Amino acid sequence: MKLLLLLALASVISCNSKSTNKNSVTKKEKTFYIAFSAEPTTLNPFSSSDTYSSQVQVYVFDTLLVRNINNYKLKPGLAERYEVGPKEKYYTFYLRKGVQFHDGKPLTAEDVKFSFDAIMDDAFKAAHQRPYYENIKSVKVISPLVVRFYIKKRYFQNLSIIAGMQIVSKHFYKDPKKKLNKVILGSGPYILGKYDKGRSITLKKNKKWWGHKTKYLSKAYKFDRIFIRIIRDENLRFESLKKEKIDFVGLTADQFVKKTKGKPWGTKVFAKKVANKSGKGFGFVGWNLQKPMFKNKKVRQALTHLMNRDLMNKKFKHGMSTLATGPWYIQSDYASPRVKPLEFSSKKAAKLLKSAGWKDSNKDGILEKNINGKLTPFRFTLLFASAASEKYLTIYKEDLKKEGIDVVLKQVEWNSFVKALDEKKFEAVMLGWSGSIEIDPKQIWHSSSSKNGGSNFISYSNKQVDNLIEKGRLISDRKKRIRIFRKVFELIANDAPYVFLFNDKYTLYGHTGRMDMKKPTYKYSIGTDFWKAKAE
Amino acid sequence: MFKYILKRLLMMIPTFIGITLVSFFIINAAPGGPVEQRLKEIRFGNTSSGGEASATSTSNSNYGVSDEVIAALKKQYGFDKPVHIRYFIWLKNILTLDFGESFSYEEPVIDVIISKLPVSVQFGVISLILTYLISIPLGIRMAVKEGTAFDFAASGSLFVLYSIPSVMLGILLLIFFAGGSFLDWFPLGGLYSDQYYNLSFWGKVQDRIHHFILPLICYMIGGFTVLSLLMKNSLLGELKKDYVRTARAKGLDERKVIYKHALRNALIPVVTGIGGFIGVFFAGSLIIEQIFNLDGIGLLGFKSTLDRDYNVIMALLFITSCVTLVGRLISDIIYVIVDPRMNFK
Repeated sequence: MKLLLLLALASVISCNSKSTNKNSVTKKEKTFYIAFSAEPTTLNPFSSSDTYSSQVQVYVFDTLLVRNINNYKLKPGLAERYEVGPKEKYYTFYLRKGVQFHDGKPLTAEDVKFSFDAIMDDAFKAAHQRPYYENIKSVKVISPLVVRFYIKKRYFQNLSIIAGMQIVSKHFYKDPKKKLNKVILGSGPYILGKYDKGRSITLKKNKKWWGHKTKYLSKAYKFDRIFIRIIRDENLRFESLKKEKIDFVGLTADQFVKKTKGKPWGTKVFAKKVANKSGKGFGFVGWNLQKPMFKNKKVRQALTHLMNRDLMNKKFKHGMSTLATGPWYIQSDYASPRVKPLEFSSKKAAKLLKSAGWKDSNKDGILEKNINGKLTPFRFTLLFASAASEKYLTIYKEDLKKEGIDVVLKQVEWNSFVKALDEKKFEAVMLGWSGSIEIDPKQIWHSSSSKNGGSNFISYSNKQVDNLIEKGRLISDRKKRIRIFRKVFELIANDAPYVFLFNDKYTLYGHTGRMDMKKPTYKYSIGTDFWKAKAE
Repeated sequence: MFKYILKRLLMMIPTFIGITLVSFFIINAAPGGPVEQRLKEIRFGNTSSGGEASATSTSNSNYGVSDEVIAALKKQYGFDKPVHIRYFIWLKNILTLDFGESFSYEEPVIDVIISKLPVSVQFGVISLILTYLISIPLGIRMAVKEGTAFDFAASGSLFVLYSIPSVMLGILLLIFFAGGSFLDWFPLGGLYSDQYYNLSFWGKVQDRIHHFILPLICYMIGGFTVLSLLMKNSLLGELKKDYVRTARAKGLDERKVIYKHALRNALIPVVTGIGGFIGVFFAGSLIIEQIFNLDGIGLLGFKSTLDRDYNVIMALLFITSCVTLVGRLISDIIYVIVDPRMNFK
């Protein structure tokens, strides 16, 4: 024990030198403790690409417009107002007066222009962000507080893309050689405080933030500090909430059902189950439509009928999911309520397979069909990358087997998985898409997205769908667009290019009793930004 | 002896080239490089590093990524050159100890590695010392009391300890001794607490030890067995030799026989193993670092492999092979020093 003590001493001494910046936290300061499951790789707004960096950036940077999470309408941000040019050829933004960056320098139209130009400049290592801004031609400074964005192509999301661009400070970021991985400077509600590498990030409230003076943001960002702990392990995050080391954590259905009973729950920590319209993803099994085996719609529908989703939902998801019906989450305004999920039915599947010409002619228990003059057995390999998929697929495999379809399950590492998708060297895959509130089906469903490593890796192609997508993308009126995209939803659902698996019914999370919230959830988000600490 | 050491050192050069050449090409041949990582992020969002297979469609890249973007990315990471040229560039840089920059951390690789070292060094050194401190006396006692109930009990429990997976042990320890439901004796992972910087010196020491105990148990749990049994068997081997019989025959005190004569010789294989001690500076353990939320080398190695952070992987490989080779050399030199029967010819 002596030696242990000695070595601990040594490590204290070695770290002592670093502890120069004592953070004196007064009792009155209210802190919101949250956890990241990984450290942001870099805070550099140009080259970073991970979720955790962008979460920090959201606290530190401002955008031209902001979203109201209750109705998803755009509200003034850095820009007090904006004007749409004729035929949506340009957008002009009028910036708020007197906005300052955290270092006290004023924010002007030059900074807005720079924020865009830097992304297009090779020196800033932001090539991966460019596809996102591909419809914007250029940015022009009209006057110190007026800036105009010129558009290449009309597109319904153009405004929200510009509105959501993070505005960085030109004088701070202009040198691309500057080391920016651990510093960040914006004009937003929080200022980067202490960054304890590998452990935590502290953000301090920006008391001068313009939003505190507005009506719709006066209730947001009330905490004096946001303390982000980096906790990699899921169990550890869960236990940290129970010990009130963090104030908020997302829960899995399993945790929610099995682990939120007993002592600290209901007194010190609380589990919430809320349903709203926030973006939700779905899992799927996708068929490579270039393979002759999957070309027939009837076959794909049969394959969906053989997926026992009710059982899986009950067994693995505690009934907390709904069966997905189509290419995006059913709570979305864009999903057509007319589409009903395909039920589990081996009878229907058998009938469909038979009418598609598959039968067991040599009595070996496996269906065959004559494809291009060759008797082909119904046998394929299903690739997946996540170990969690296996339990679902095992049930599926058994049910397919009973109908004479032989599937080989194969787990591969994520990089190899993506490579297989890119090169289209697969027969079937299991994967998931996450969802967003505004939907643009082009990335995943348009036939042009099937080439050059696009996201339509299953090579789905339907002329009618293509036309509707192109039409819908030009329409700025949300109601009209919803009508068109619902039709797209119906058409794709009917083609059964994927077995659409589940949409979560709820958002599940846990929070401590220290938190005070106006309501548990907003229409499009949980709204942790609007939480505050309880008065003592 | 000088000549021998020089020869060994020179031999290391081709060994290094062999190791790095093979690894460099294998790493580059694996699917997905830094450029592909970025492309993947454009398309699937950033869900990859945990190996989770879910993707985001929120990014607005509407079609496949354009060729200009791909070319720009390649240039950004220096992948516009063929692989063998890149190897020579890497080799040239390594001669000046320039490991390049980490693709994901955007810092010189060496800084990234150094920032992760404290965890590994502290746990490595402490567990090394404790292991030797406990295993040697235990091994001796087991050898002296061979065949007794003590020997059986000790061997039995050593094998039980050896077979406990550290993942399971770590989670159990955390939940039962540090979680929110059972006993709350220890902190939930980490190296020190939030108030650490405001503590007094002794407070800091206590805080560190408090955080150290659970992960240290996991680090060491398997380490005792090998060394204890090595010690035991080596001593048993010596005790059966003629010179021990002679010593006993001339009426020497049993303590003297064992501790003065037999033990000295029995320690040779145990002591020489210490040459690997510099390895402890890089003794990372992915699982323990993950469970106890420590930011060390083990996790870095794993993460950079998943992210295809080539420069970090190569630097880690280079350093660990250096350390291993030098450790071997030191072991051999110690051998000669402690065992007069050995020489450099």
